[in-house]
Amino acid sequence: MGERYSNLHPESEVVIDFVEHIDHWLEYLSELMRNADKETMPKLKRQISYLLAFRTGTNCNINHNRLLQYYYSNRAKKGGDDISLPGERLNADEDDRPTDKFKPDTEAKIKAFMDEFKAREGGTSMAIKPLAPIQSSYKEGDPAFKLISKALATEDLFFMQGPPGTGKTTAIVEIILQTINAKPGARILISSETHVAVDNAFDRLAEQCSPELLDSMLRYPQFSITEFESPNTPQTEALSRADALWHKAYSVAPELTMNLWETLEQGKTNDIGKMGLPRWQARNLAEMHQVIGVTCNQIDHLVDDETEMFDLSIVDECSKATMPEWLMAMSGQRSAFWLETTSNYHRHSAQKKQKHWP
Amino acid sequence: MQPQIELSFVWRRQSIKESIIAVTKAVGAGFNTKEKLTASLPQFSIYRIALAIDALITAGMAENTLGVLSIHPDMEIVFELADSKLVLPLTINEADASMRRVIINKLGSKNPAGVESLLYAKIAEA
Repeated sequence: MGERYSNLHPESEVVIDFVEHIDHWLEYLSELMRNADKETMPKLKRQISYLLAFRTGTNCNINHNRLLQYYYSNRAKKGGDDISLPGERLNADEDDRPTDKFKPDTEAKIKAFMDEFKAREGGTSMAIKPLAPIQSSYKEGDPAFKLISKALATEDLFFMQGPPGTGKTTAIVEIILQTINAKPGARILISSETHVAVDNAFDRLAEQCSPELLDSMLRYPQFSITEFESPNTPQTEALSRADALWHKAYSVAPELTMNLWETLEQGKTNDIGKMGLPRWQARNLAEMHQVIGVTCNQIDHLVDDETEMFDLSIVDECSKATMPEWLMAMSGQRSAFWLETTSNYHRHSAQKKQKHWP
Repeated sequence: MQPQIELSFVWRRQSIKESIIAVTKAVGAGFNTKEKLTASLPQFSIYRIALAIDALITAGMAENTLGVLSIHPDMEIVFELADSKLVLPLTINEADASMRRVIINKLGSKNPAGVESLLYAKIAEA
Protein backbone atom coordinates (compact mmCIF):
# COMPACT_ATOMS: atom_id res chain seq x y z
CA MET A 1 0.00 0.00 0.00
CA GLY A 2 2.75 2.35 1.04
CA GLU A 3 4.81 1.46 -2.01
CA ARG A 4 1.79 1.92 -4.23
CA TYR A 5 1.12 5.46 -3.18
CA SER A 6 4.78 6.34 -3.35
CA ASN A 7 4.22 6.50 -7.13
CA LEU A 8 2.05 9.56 -6.72
CA HIS A 9 5.21 11.67 -6.73
CA PRO A 10 7.44 10.02 -9.31
CA GLU A 11 10.97 10.97 -10.21
CA SER A 12 11.05 13.86 -12.66
CA GLU A 13 13.20 11.87 -15.11
CA VAL A 14 10.50 9.19 -15.35
CA VAL A 15 7.70 11.67 -15.97
CA ILE A 16 9.59 13.24 -18.87
CA ASP A 17 9.68 9.87 -20.68
CA PHE A 18 5.93 9.56 -20.49
CA VAL A 19 5.22 13.12 -21.51
CA GLU A 20 7.73 12.87 -24.32
CA HIS A 21 5.90 9.88 -25.70
CA ILE A 22 2.65 11.83 -25.70
CA ASP A 23 4.47 14.67 -27.47
CA HIS A 24 5.74 12.29 -30.14
CA TRP A 25 2.17 11.23 -30.74
CA LEU A 26 1.08 14.85 -30.96
CA GLU A 27 3.79 15.56 -33.53
CA TYR A 28 2.87 12.46 -35.52
CA LEU A 29 -0.85 13.27 -35.56
CA SER A 30 -0.15 16.88 -36.51
CA GLU A 31 1.97 15.64 -39.41
CA LEU A 32 -0.84 13.31 -40.52
CA MET A 33 -3.24 16.27 -40.57
CA ARG A 34 -1.28 17.84 -43.44
CA ASN A 35 -2.54 15.25 -45.91
CA ALA A 36 -5.68 14.07 -44.14
CA ASP A 37 -8.92 13.78 -46.10
CA LYS A 38 -12.28 15.22 -45.01
CA GLU A 39 -13.26 12.02 -43.23
CA THR A 40 -10.01 11.50 -41.33
CA MET A 41 -9.47 15.11 -40.27
CA PRO A 42 -12.11 15.20 -37.49
CA LYS A 43 -10.73 11.93 -36.05
CA LEU A 44 -7.21 13.34 -35.93
CA LYS A 45 -8.40 16.59 -34.36
CA ARG A 46 -10.36 14.61 -31.77
CA GLN A 47 -7.35 12.44 -30.91
CA ILE A 48 -5.13 15.49 -30.57
CA SER A 49 -7.63 17.18 -28.27
CA TYR A 50 -7.81 14.07 -26.06
CA LEU A 51 -4.02 13.78 -25.95
CA LEU A 52 -3.67 17.43 -25.01
CA ALA A 53 -6.33 17.10 -22.33
CA PHE A 54 -4.67 13.96 -21.00
CA ARG A 55 -1.27 15.67 -21.04
CA THR A 56 -2.65 18.39 -18.82
CA GLY A 57 -4.52 15.87 -16.68
CA THR A 58 -7.93 17.39 -17.29
CA ASN A 59 -9.87 14.49 -18.74
CA CYS A 60 -8.70 11.47 -16.88
CA ASN A 61 -9.08 9.63 -13.66
CA ILE A 62 -6.01 10.30 -11.51
CA ASN A 63 -5.62 6.56 -10.89
CA HIS A 64 -5.29 6.00 -14.63
CA ASN A 65 -2.68 8.72 -14.95
CA ARG A 66 -0.70 7.19 -12.15
CA LEU A 67 -0.92 3.66 -13.50
CA LEU A 68 -0.02 4.63 -17.04
CA GLN A 69 2.93 6.57 -15.83
CA TYR A 70 4.05 3.48 -13.94
CA TYR A 71 3.62 1.21 -16.97
CA TYR A 72 5.57 3.57 -19.16
CA SER A 73 8.36 3.90 -16.69
CA ASN A 74 8.99 0.26 -15.83
CA ARG A 75 9.90 -2.44 -18.27
CA ALA A 76 7.87 -5.64 -18.19
CA LYS A 77 9.47 -8.59 -16.49
CA LYS A 78 10.10 -11.68 -18.53
CA GLY A 79 6.72 -13.18 -19.34
CA GLY A 80 4.95 -9.88 -18.71
CA ASP A 81 3.47 -11.16 -15.47
CA ASP A 82 3.83 -7.97 -13.52
CA ILE A 83 0.79 -5.88 -14.29
CA SER A 84 0.20 -4.72 -10.74
CA LEU A 85 1.73 -1.79 -9.02
CA PRO A 86 4.37 -2.56 -6.41
CA GLY A 87 2.71 -4.10 -3.39
CA GLU A 88 -0.51 -4.73 -5.28
CA ARG A 89 0.13 -7.88 -7.42
CA LEU A 90 -3.47 -8.63 -8.30
CA ASN A 91 -2.43 -11.46 -10.60
CA ALA A 92 -0.54 -13.38 -7.98
CA ASP A 93 -2.04 -16.60 -6.66
CA GLU A 94 -3.74 -16.34 -3.31
CA ASP A 95 -0.93 -18.11 -1.44
CA ASP A 96 1.68 -16.13 -3.35
CA ARG A 97 0.42 -12.78 -2.15
CA PRO A 98 3.08 -10.30 -1.11
CA THR A 99 3.83 -10.39 2.56
CA ASP A 100 4.77 -6.76 2.93
CA LYS A 101 4.52 -5.90 6.58
CA PHE A 102 4.38 -2.34 7.68
CA LYS A 103 5.27 -0.99 11.03
CA PRO A 104 2.24 -0.63 13.32
CA ASP A 105 2.28 3.17 13.17
CA THR A 106 2.46 3.05 9.34
CA GLU A 107 -0.49 0.66 9.25
CA ALA A 108 -2.45 2.97 11.55
CA LYS A 109 -1.71 5.93 9.27
CA ILE A 110 -2.81 4.00 6.19
CA LYS A 111 -5.99 2.88 7.95
CA ALA A 112 -6.77 6.43 9.04
CA PHE A 113 -6.16 7.67 5.47
CA MET A 114 -8.43 5.00 3.98
CA ASP A 115 -11.17 5.58 6.57
CA GLU A 116 -11.09 9.31 5.86
CA PHE A 117 -11.16 8.61 2.10
CA LYS A 118 -14.11 6.22 2.40
CA ALA A 119 -16.02 8.64 4.63
CA ARG A 120 -15.43 11.45 2.13
CA GLU A 121 -15.99 9.51 -1.10
CA GLY A 122 -18.76 7.26 0.18
CA GLY A 123 -19.66 4.50 -2.23
CA THR A 124 -17.50 5.55 -5.16
CA SER A 125 -15.29 2.49 -4.94
CA MET A 126 -15.55 0.31 -8.01
CA ALA A 127 -14.17 -2.81 -6.33
CA ILE A 128 -16.74 -5.60 -6.30
CA LYS A 129 -16.59 -9.00 -4.61
CA PRO A 130 -18.92 -11.34 -6.50
CA LEU A 131 -20.51 -14.06 -4.41
CA ALA A 132 -21.22 -16.47 -7.26
CA PRO A 133 -21.18 -16.54 -11.07
CA ILE A 134 -24.28 -15.15 -12.77
CA GLN A 135 -23.89 -16.96 -16.08
CA SER A 136 -24.40 -20.72 -15.98
CA SER A 137 -21.29 -21.24 -18.11
CA TYR A 138 -19.18 -20.52 -15.04
CA LYS A 139 -18.93 -22.71 -11.98
CA GLU A 140 -17.78 -21.48 -8.62
CA GLY A 141 -14.05 -22.01 -8.24
CA ASP A 142 -13.63 -21.98 -12.02
CA PRO A 143 -10.16 -20.49 -12.81
CA ALA A 144 -11.80 -18.17 -15.36
CA PHE A 145 -14.29 -16.95 -12.76
CA LYS A 146 -11.43 -16.41 -10.28
CA LEU A 147 -9.78 -14.15 -12.81
CA ILE A 148 -13.05 -12.28 -13.37
CA SER A 149 -13.29 -11.82 -9.61
CA LYS A 150 -9.84 -10.24 -9.64
CA ALA A 151 -10.87 -7.96 -12.47
CA LEU A 152 -13.94 -6.92 -10.50
CA ALA A 153 -11.81 -6.24 -7.43
CA THR A 154 -9.73 -3.72 -9.37
CA GLU A 155 -10.24 -0.01 -8.74
CA ASP A 156 -8.47 1.28 -11.82
CA LEU A 157 -7.09 -0.80 -14.71
CA PHE A 158 -7.15 -4.49 -15.51
CA PHE A 159 -5.71 -6.19 -18.59
CA MET A 160 -6.78 -9.63 -19.75
CA GLN A 161 -5.35 -11.56 -22.62
CA GLY A 162 -6.48 -14.86 -24.08
CA PRO A 163 -6.40 -16.90 -27.28
CA PRO A 164 -9.51 -16.91 -29.53
CA GLY A 165 -12.43 -18.96 -28.22
CA THR A 166 -11.37 -18.94 -24.57
CA GLY A 167 -14.35 -16.91 -23.41
CA LYS A 168 -13.26 -13.30 -23.35
CA THR A 169 -16.64 -12.06 -24.57
CA THR A 170 -18.34 -14.26 -21.97
CA ALA A 171 -16.06 -12.63 -19.40
CA ILE A 172 -17.15 -9.17 -20.58
CA VAL A 173 -20.79 -10.17 -20.10
CA GLU A 174 -20.10 -11.62 -16.64
CA ILE A 175 -18.24 -8.48 -15.57
CA ILE A 176 -21.11 -6.27 -16.73
CA LEU A 177 -23.77 -8.44 -15.08
CA GLN A 178 -21.82 -8.60 -11.82
CA THR A 179 -21.23 -4.83 -11.87
CA ILE A 180 -24.91 -4.07 -12.44
CA ASN A 181 -25.84 -6.59 -9.77
CA ALA A 182 -23.55 -4.96 -7.20
CA LYS A 183 -24.07 -1.37 -8.33
CA PRO A 184 -27.48 -1.06 -9.99
CA GLY A 185 -26.86 2.53 -11.07
CA ALA A 186 -23.43 1.94 -12.64
CA ARG A 187 -22.80 3.41 -16.10
CA ILE A 188 -20.79 1.10 -18.34
CA LEU A 189 -19.03 1.68 -21.64
CA ILE A 190 -18.25 -1.19 -24.02
CA SER A 191 -15.68 -0.03 -26.51
CA SER A 192 -13.21 -1.21 -29.12
CA GLU A 193 -11.35 0.12 -32.11
CA THR A 194 -13.64 -1.90 -34.41
CA HIS A 195 -17.42 -1.81 -34.72
CA VAL A 196 -17.58 -5.61 -35.05
CA ALA A 197 -15.97 -6.21 -31.64
CA VAL A 198 -18.44 -3.83 -29.97
CA ASP A 199 -21.34 -5.45 -31.84
CA ASN A 200 -20.37 -8.97 -30.77
CA ALA A 201 -20.01 -8.04 -27.10
CA PHE A 202 -23.31 -6.16 -27.20
CA ASP A 203 -25.10 -9.02 -28.93
CA ARG A 204 -23.86 -11.49 -26.34
CA LEU A 205 -24.92 -9.22 -23.49
CA ALA A 206 -28.38 -8.74 -25.03
CA GLU A 207 -28.74 -12.51 -25.14
CA GLN A 208 -27.86 -12.98 -21.47
CA CYS A 209 -29.34 -9.93 -19.76
CA SER A 210 -32.71 -9.23 -18.20
CA PRO A 211 -35.42 -7.30 -20.14
CA GLU A 212 -34.83 -4.32 -17.80
CA LEU A 213 -31.13 -4.20 -18.63
CA LEU A 214 -31.88 -4.65 -22.32
CA ASP A 215 -34.01 -1.50 -22.16
CA SER A 216 -31.05 0.42 -20.78
CA MET A 217 -28.57 -0.66 -23.49
CA LEU A 218 -27.58 1.67 -26.32
CA ARG A 219 -25.44 0.86 -29.37
CA TYR A 220 -24.19 4.07 -30.94
CA PRO A 221 -24.56 4.86 -33.77
CA GLN A 222 -25.56 1.53 -35.33
CA PHE A 223 -24.62 -2.13 -35.70
CA SER A 224 -22.22 -3.15 -38.41
CA ILE A 225 -23.16 -6.83 -38.18
CA THR A 226 -26.41 -8.09 -39.70
CA GLU A 227 -26.77 -11.47 -38.00
CA PHE A 228 -27.43 -11.51 -34.29
CA GLU A 229 -27.37 -14.21 -31.62
CA SER A 230 -30.25 -12.45 -29.86
CA PRO A 231 -33.32 -11.17 -31.72
CA ASN A 232 -33.52 -8.35 -29.16
CA THR A 233 -30.15 -6.84 -30.02
CA PRO A 234 -31.20 -4.57 -32.95
CA GLN A 235 -33.63 -2.64 -30.74
CA THR A 236 -30.66 -1.20 -28.81
CA GLU A 237 -29.48 0.76 -31.86
CA ALA A 238 -29.38 4.52 -31.22
CA LEU A 239 -31.57 5.48 -34.19
CA SER A 240 -34.27 3.01 -33.12
CA ARG A 241 -34.10 4.29 -29.56
CA ALA A 242 -34.37 7.92 -30.71
CA ASP A 243 -37.23 7.08 -33.06
CA ALA A 244 -39.19 5.43 -30.23
CA LEU A 245 -38.68 8.46 -27.98
CA TRP A 246 -39.84 10.94 -30.63
CA HIS A 247 -42.97 8.83 -31.21
CA LYS A 248 -43.59 8.78 -27.46
CA ALA A 249 -43.20 12.57 -27.34
CA TYR A 250 -45.57 12.96 -30.29
CA SER A 251 -48.24 10.92 -28.52
CA VAL A 252 -48.11 13.32 -25.53
CA ALA A 253 -47.48 16.66 -27.23
CA PRO A 254 -47.89 16.49 -31.03
CA GLU A 255 -47.58 20.21 -31.78
CA LEU A 256 -44.59 20.75 -29.51
CA THR A 257 -42.86 17.65 -30.89
CA MET A 258 -43.28 18.75 -34.52
CA ASN A 259 -42.00 22.22 -33.60
CA LEU A 260 -38.91 20.77 -31.88
CA TRP A 261 -38.33 18.29 -34.71
CA GLU A 262 -37.97 21.21 -37.11
CA THR A 263 -36.19 23.64 -34.78
CA LEU A 264 -33.60 21.13 -33.65
CA GLU A 265 -33.04 19.75 -37.16
CA GLN A 266 -33.73 16.24 -35.98
CA GLY A 267 -34.52 14.78 -39.39
CA LYS A 268 -31.51 16.35 -41.11
CA THR A 269 -29.68 14.15 -43.61
CA ASN A 270 -25.92 14.06 -44.03
CA ASP A 271 -23.79 14.48 -47.19
CA ILE A 272 -24.71 11.05 -48.52
CA GLY A 273 -28.44 11.53 -47.89
CA LYS A 274 -28.55 9.32 -44.81
CA MET A 275 -30.45 10.50 -41.74
CA GLY A 276 -28.04 10.81 -38.84
CA LEU A 277 -28.44 11.47 -35.17
CA PRO A 278 -27.60 15.01 -34.00
CA ARG A 279 -24.90 15.09 -31.36
CA TRP A 280 -27.21 16.61 -28.74
CA GLN A 281 -29.59 13.68 -29.24
CA ALA A 282 -26.74 11.17 -28.99
CA ARG A 283 -25.59 12.72 -25.69
CA ASN A 284 -29.09 12.72 -24.25
CA LEU A 285 -29.57 9.09 -25.29
CA ALA A 286 -26.25 8.13 -23.71
CA GLU A 287 -27.37 9.69 -20.42
CA MET A 288 -30.67 7.83 -20.52
CA HIS A 289 -29.01 4.44 -20.93
CA GLN A 290 -26.78 2.47 -18.63
CA VAL A 291 -24.70 0.29 -20.95
CA ILE A 292 -23.31 2.04 -24.01
CA GLY A 293 -21.58 0.34 -26.95
CA VAL A 294 -19.40 2.63 -29.07
CA THR A 295 -16.04 2.58 -30.85
CA CYS A 296 -13.13 4.40 -29.19
CA ASN A 297 -13.14 7.14 -31.81
CA GLN A 298 -16.86 7.83 -31.43
CA ILE A 299 -16.90 8.08 -27.64
CA ASP A 300 -16.37 11.79 -28.14
CA HIS A 301 -19.80 12.03 -29.84
CA LEU A 302 -21.39 11.10 -26.53
CA VAL A 303 -19.33 13.32 -24.27
CA ASP A 304 -19.36 17.05 -23.57
CA ASP A 305 -18.75 19.41 -20.67
CA GLU A 306 -21.86 18.26 -18.86
CA THR A 307 -21.45 14.51 -19.29
CA GLU A 308 -21.29 12.41 -16.16
CA MET A 309 -18.42 10.00 -15.74
CA PHE A 310 -18.80 6.35 -16.67
CA ASP A 311 -18.14 3.89 -13.86
CA LEU A 312 -16.58 1.18 -15.96
CA SER A 313 -15.02 1.15 -19.40
CA ILE A 314 -14.38 -2.15 -21.21
CA VAL A 315 -12.07 -2.08 -24.23
CA ASP A 316 -12.10 -5.22 -26.36
CA GLU A 317 -9.22 -6.01 -28.75
CA CYS A 318 -7.27 -3.21 -27.15
CA SER A 319 -4.05 -3.78 -29.10
CA LYS A 320 -5.82 -2.79 -32.33
CA ALA A 321 -6.36 0.67 -30.89
CA THR A 322 -3.61 3.26 -30.91
CA MET A 323 -2.55 5.12 -27.80
CA PRO A 324 -4.79 8.16 -28.47
CA GLU A 325 -7.71 5.82 -29.12
CA TRP A 326 -7.42 3.92 -25.88
CA LEU A 327 -6.91 7.15 -24.01
CA MET A 328 -10.33 8.16 -25.30
CA ALA A 329 -11.85 5.02 -23.81
CA MET A 330 -10.04 5.63 -20.57
CA SER A 331 -10.83 9.29 -20.13
CA GLY A 332 -13.72 10.08 -17.88
CA GLN A 333 -14.12 6.54 -16.52
CA ARG A 334 -13.71 5.43 -12.93
CA SER A 335 -12.23 2.05 -13.81
CA ALA A 336 -11.22 0.32 -17.01
CA PHE A 337 -10.97 -3.26 -18.15
CA TRP A 338 -9.03 -4.08 -21.30
CA LEU A 339 -9.14 -7.32 -23.25
CA GLU A 340 -6.89 -8.69 -25.90
CA THR A 341 -6.76 -11.78 -28.10
CA THR A 342 -3.33 -13.42 -28.09
CA SER A 343 -3.21 -13.80 -31.87
CA ASN A 344 -3.80 -10.09 -32.39
CA TYR A 345 -1.53 -8.93 -29.65
CA HIS A 346 1.44 -6.81 -30.51
CA ARG A 347 3.45 -4.63 -28.26
CA HIS A 348 2.94 -0.90 -28.35
CA SER A 349 5.64 1.55 -27.65
CA ALA A 350 3.98 1.73 -24.27
CA GLN A 351 5.32 -0.84 -21.86
CA LYS A 352 1.98 -2.58 -21.55
CA LYS A 353 1.70 -5.66 -19.47
CA GLN A 354 -0.97 -8.24 -19.88
CA LYS A 355 -2.76 -10.89 -17.93
CA HIS A 356 -2.51 -14.50 -19.08
CA TRP A 357 -5.71 -16.41 -19.48
CA PRO A 358 -5.52 -19.47 -17.22
CA MET B 1 -17.25 54.94 -46.27
CA GLN B 2 -19.05 54.48 -42.97
CA PRO B 3 -17.63 51.67 -40.82
CA GLN B 4 -19.86 48.66 -40.26
CA ILE B 5 -19.78 45.75 -37.90
CA GLU B 6 -21.57 42.43 -37.89
CA LEU B 7 -22.98 41.54 -34.49
CA SER B 8 -24.11 38.00 -33.86
CA PHE B 9 -25.10 36.18 -30.68
CA VAL B 10 -24.01 32.69 -29.72
CA TRP B 11 -25.31 30.38 -26.98
CA ARG B 12 -22.96 30.39 -24.01
CA ARG B 13 -23.94 26.86 -22.95
CA GLN B 14 -23.56 25.07 -26.28
CA SER B 15 -23.94 21.70 -24.58
CA ILE B 16 -27.46 22.42 -23.36
CA LYS B 17 -28.79 24.93 -25.88
CA GLU B 18 -31.19 22.33 -27.35
CA SER B 19 -32.49 21.52 -23.87
CA ILE B 20 -33.00 25.24 -23.13
CA ILE B 21 -34.95 25.66 -26.39
CA ALA B 22 -37.04 22.55 -25.69
CA VAL B 23 -37.84 23.46 -22.08
CA THR B 24 -38.78 27.02 -23.05
CA LYS B 25 -41.09 25.84 -25.81
CA ALA B 26 -42.60 23.08 -23.66
CA VAL B 27 -43.37 25.41 -20.76
CA GLY B 28 -44.76 27.91 -23.24
CA ALA B 29 -47.06 25.20 -24.58
CA GLY B 30 -48.42 24.51 -21.09
CA PHE B 31 -46.21 21.61 -20.01
CA ASN B 32 -45.16 23.56 -16.97
CA THR B 33 -44.90 21.07 -14.12
CA LYS B 34 -42.22 18.45 -13.53
CA GLU B 35 -44.51 15.59 -14.60
CA LYS B 36 -45.85 17.36 -17.68
CA LEU B 37 -42.42 18.56 -18.73
CA THR B 38 -40.72 15.16 -18.49
CA ALA B 39 -43.67 13.46 -20.20
CA SER B 40 -43.60 15.90 -23.11
CA LEU B 41 -39.81 15.77 -23.58
CA PRO B 42 -38.82 12.08 -23.39
CA GLN B 43 -36.09 12.74 -26.01
CA PHE B 44 -34.17 14.65 -23.35
CA SER B 45 -32.50 13.19 -20.29
CA ILE B 46 -33.83 14.38 -16.94
CA TYR B 47 -30.31 15.61 -16.22
CA ARG B 48 -30.24 17.93 -19.26
CA ILE B 49 -33.78 19.17 -18.55
CA ALA B 50 -32.66 20.04 -15.01
CA LEU B 51 -29.56 21.81 -16.34
CA ALA B 52 -31.71 23.82 -18.74
CA ILE B 53 -34.16 24.86 -16.00
CA ASP B 54 -31.21 25.80 -13.82
CA ALA B 55 -29.70 27.96 -16.59
CA LEU B 56 -33.06 29.64 -17.25
CA ILE B 57 -33.74 30.38 -13.60
CA THR B 58 -30.18 31.70 -13.13
CA ALA B 59 -30.70 34.02 -16.09
CA GLY B 60 -34.00 35.20 -14.67
CA MET B 61 -35.76 33.76 -17.71
CA ALA B 62 -37.81 31.20 -15.78
CA GLU B 63 -39.64 31.29 -12.49
CA ASN B 64 -40.72 28.42 -10.31
CA THR B 65 -43.92 29.14 -8.37
CA LEU B 66 -44.91 26.20 -6.18
CA GLY B 67 -43.71 23.71 -8.77
CA VAL B 68 -45.20 25.52 -11.74
CA LEU B 69 -42.72 27.01 -14.20
CA SER B 70 -43.24 30.16 -16.20
CA ILE B 71 -40.99 31.61 -18.89
CA HIS B 72 -40.02 35.27 -19.30
CA PRO B 73 -41.23 36.78 -22.60
CA ASP B 74 -37.65 37.91 -23.31
CA MET B 75 -36.86 34.33 -24.36
CA GLU B 76 -38.45 35.27 -27.70
CA ILE B 77 -35.74 37.92 -28.07
CA VAL B 78 -33.09 35.33 -27.13
CA PHE B 79 -34.33 32.96 -29.87
CA GLU B 80 -34.39 35.78 -32.44
CA LEU B 81 -30.91 36.98 -31.54
CA ALA B 82 -29.43 33.48 -31.54
CA ASP B 83 -30.49 32.99 -35.14
CA SER B 84 -29.66 36.35 -36.66
CA LYS B 85 -26.86 38.77 -37.47
CA LEU B 86 -27.13 42.51 -37.07
CA VAL B 87 -25.14 44.82 -39.34
CA LEU B 88 -24.60 48.10 -37.51
CA PRO B 89 -22.91 51.38 -38.46
CA LEU B 90 -20.34 51.17 -35.67
CA THR B 91 -16.65 50.51 -35.28
CA ILE B 92 -15.49 47.49 -33.30
CA ASN B 93 -14.29 49.79 -30.52
CA GLU B 94 -17.69 51.45 -30.30
CA ALA B 95 -19.48 48.13 -29.89
CA ASP B 96 -18.42 47.69 -26.29
CA ALA B 97 -20.41 46.19 -23.42
CA SER B 98 -22.48 49.32 -22.78
CA MET B 99 -23.37 49.66 -26.46
CA ARG B 100 -24.37 45.99 -26.61
CA ARG B 101 -26.63 46.55 -23.61
CA VAL B 102 -28.21 49.58 -25.33
CA ILE B 103 -28.86 47.46 -28.45
CA ILE B 104 -30.55 44.69 -26.44
CA ASN B 105 -32.62 47.26 -24.55
CA LYS B 106 -33.69 48.88 -27.82
CA LEU B 107 -34.89 45.48 -29.04
CA GLY B 108 -37.43 45.64 -26.22
CA SER B 109 -35.76 43.43 -23.65
CA LYS B 110 -36.85 43.82 -20.04
CA ASN B 111 -34.16 41.42 -18.84
CA PRO B 112 -31.04 42.35 -20.81
CA ALA B 113 -28.70 40.80 -18.23
CA GLY B 114 -30.59 37.53 -18.64
CA VAL B 115 -30.22 37.73 -22.42
CA GLU B 116 -26.49 38.26 -22.07
CA SER B 117 -26.10 35.47 -19.57
CA LEU B 118 -27.57 33.03 -22.08
CA LEU B 119 -25.90 34.49 -25.18
CA TYR B 120 -22.57 36.13 -25.85
CA ALA B 121 -21.89 38.62 -28.59
CA LYS B 122 -19.49 38.03 -31.47
CA ILE B 123 -18.37 41.11 -33.32
CA ALA B 124 -16.65 41.22 -36.70
CA GLU B 125 -16.01 43.91 -39.29
CA ALA B 126 -18.68 43.69 -41.96
